[in-house]
Amino acid sequence: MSRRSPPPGRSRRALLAGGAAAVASALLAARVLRREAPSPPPRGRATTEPSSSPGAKREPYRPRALADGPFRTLESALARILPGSPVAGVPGASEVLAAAYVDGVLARGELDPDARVDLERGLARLDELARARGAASFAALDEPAQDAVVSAVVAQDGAWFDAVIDVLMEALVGDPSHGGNPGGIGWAWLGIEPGVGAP
Amino acid sequence: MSFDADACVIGSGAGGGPVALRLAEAGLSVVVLEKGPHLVERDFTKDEIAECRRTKLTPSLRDEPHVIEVPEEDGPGFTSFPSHASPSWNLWHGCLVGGATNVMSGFFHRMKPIDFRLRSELGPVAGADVADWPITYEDLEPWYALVEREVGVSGRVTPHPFADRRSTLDFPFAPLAEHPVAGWVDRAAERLGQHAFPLPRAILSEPSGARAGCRYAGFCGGYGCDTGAKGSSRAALLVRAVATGRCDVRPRAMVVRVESDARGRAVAAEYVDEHGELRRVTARVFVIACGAIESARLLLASTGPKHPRGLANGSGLVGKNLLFSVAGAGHGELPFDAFHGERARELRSRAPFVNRAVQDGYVLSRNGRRVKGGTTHYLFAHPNPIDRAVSLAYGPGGPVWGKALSERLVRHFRGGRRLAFEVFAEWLPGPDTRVTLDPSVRDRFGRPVARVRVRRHPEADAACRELVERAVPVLRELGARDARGDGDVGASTNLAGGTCRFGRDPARSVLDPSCRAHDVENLFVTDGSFLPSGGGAPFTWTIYANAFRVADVIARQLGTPGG
Repeated sequence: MSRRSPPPGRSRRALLAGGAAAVASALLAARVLRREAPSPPPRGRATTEPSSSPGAKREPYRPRALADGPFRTLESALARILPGSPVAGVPGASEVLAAAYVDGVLARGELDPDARVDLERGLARLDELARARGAASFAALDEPAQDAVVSAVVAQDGAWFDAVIDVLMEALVGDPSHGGNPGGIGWAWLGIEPGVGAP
Repeated sequence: MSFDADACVIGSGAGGGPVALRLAEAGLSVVVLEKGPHLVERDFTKDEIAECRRTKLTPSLRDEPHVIEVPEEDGPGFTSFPSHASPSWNLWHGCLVGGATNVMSGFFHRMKPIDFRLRSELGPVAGADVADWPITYEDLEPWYALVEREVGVSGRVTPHPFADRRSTLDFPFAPLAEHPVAGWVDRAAERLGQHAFPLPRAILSEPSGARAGCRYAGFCGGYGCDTGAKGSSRAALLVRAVATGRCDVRPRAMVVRVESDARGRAVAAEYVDEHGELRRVTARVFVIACGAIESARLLLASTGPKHPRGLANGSGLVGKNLLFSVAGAGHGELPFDAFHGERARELRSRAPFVNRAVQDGYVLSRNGRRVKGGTTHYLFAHPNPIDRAVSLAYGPGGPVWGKALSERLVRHFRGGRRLAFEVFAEWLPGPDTRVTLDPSVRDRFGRPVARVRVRRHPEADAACRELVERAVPVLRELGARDARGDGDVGASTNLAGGTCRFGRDPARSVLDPSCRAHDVENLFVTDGSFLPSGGGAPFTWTIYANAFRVADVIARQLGTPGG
């Protein structure tokens, strides 16, 4: 009768909708990330680091939590889930440094262990389906093939999608002091005006 | 016999703050024990990740879970899970000095006279335990009025069918500045025969005392207020209590037990301090105000020679009749390109507050019988960009990603405003919603966690759905696109009450009409635990008012200092 958590694959969000919500401020949505951060993030506005200006040379990110392989898979998958179009002024997962952000969240132990399991299970599945298509890894597939594989995993594993979306959107429109949304490009794109102690 | 303090107050939110202030002002010494940290205005930011999505303001659900029991999907029984498996069931809200009042939106309502006489007025409801209160609206009215001044409530009195009976003409603080869409709501409601009125807020519209007025950042719910305008128990009350020199607020003090002696009196609060040391405070009077769920948990865990089933639990009712609000919600889109001229200009105003409420359905009629309804608020969708962006990845047809996700993001954030409504319906408490101690799961202090069983009453659900059905047409009438409502959102986890119901009969209630435990003469409970019913609106104002009322009783019981 008692279950530790929803069975793998089922979206928590779908499964547990309709039970409970914090109200009296427009239903603050589910708060999936609730791990203790070892130290508080820097305060205030950290929105316009010169180093994050477009065109600045950025050192390749060296993952701290994920191994190189899964990190590249994560980076490639996030780029399909939120593709950018820099020409059209649309920042995507790459422009908001989503993969590095996610790795940082994992390294700091901020992601709930269940969500981390969900996240890594999906990455392994992406590579598995890529190998079934004869590629060395998910990152080695071309974009249409990557989309087909992402589509399959999203359909099979709602919990993976939940885990990915939570951290991806933190990288897109969260405070830059946490490592995503460099220079506030996600905010600028969506017209979100940061205030004192952003946004 | 010497005591560490005249009074020990456990918990520092809406239940604890008024008692600490009143007793300290009366010359009595007070120790306030609060499990969370002591944060002040400069500690609060609008960083959504830090404030709303990590553990700055609430504990880690891994370290301190609740065990949730909800009805099985297909069966008569219950299924259970720890809250970290389903964070929408996070039952912690604002664990810091000042409690959840730091992070409330401050939508303030009085209860109505009918709420104090629900059983007499509307009769019993099968499957629910509906009771009259042992006090009347008139008993509490002076304290509601006092809260308007002491905590600071801004608003404007306008007539509507369920308008409050007031002892003063109007609110002591003018209403907050409103977005022009508030007027759209007023006129749309009026055309549909409904009465929208300005929603009172526990937010200062102008500076008062040491507190600044609102700066209209628009991030209220879920965030601490960095100007002090929000009427948190900390900013409005505890700061003044501490200034008397007689109130000692101890943060990061997790009370694990209240000791009682052979006569059954409470003698000491045992707590774990920030270094993990077990410490105790003795006092003449103990005041429990940890929130309805945690107060019940603490009492149940505090067995003693005269209290084998838990402190104040001679009736066996501690933890029973837990209540929330039944929550409904909905929204509609106001795309910029759908409006022209003056309306288009109005829509682009950046003012954050719509601040409108409708209470025409506070009492509903079903099959010729009067039944309890509730309250509807109109407001802009919460501005949290991460929450909003996450929700956009879930479309009517399932997960949304790729180019479609980018397009949805742009349309939502840049294309217009989303006007939302929230419904709060009376819970109708009963035997299937309650708090017990979990037999196996323990928190990081090694103590049994609260096991919280929640089953909504079908009649309360029906009332909630009816209020949602009345609200959606208002959105359509004012021009919103894709207006929709959900009458089945569930329990309002941030508004919990009951568990230590007050009443005259010691066999049918935990507390007496003064919120003193029937069977512990020096123990009071002043948070929302005393509520026999939830009123069909957020009840923070009622908790504040009742805590001031009870503080007066405690001060009299303690007598003059040294006397």
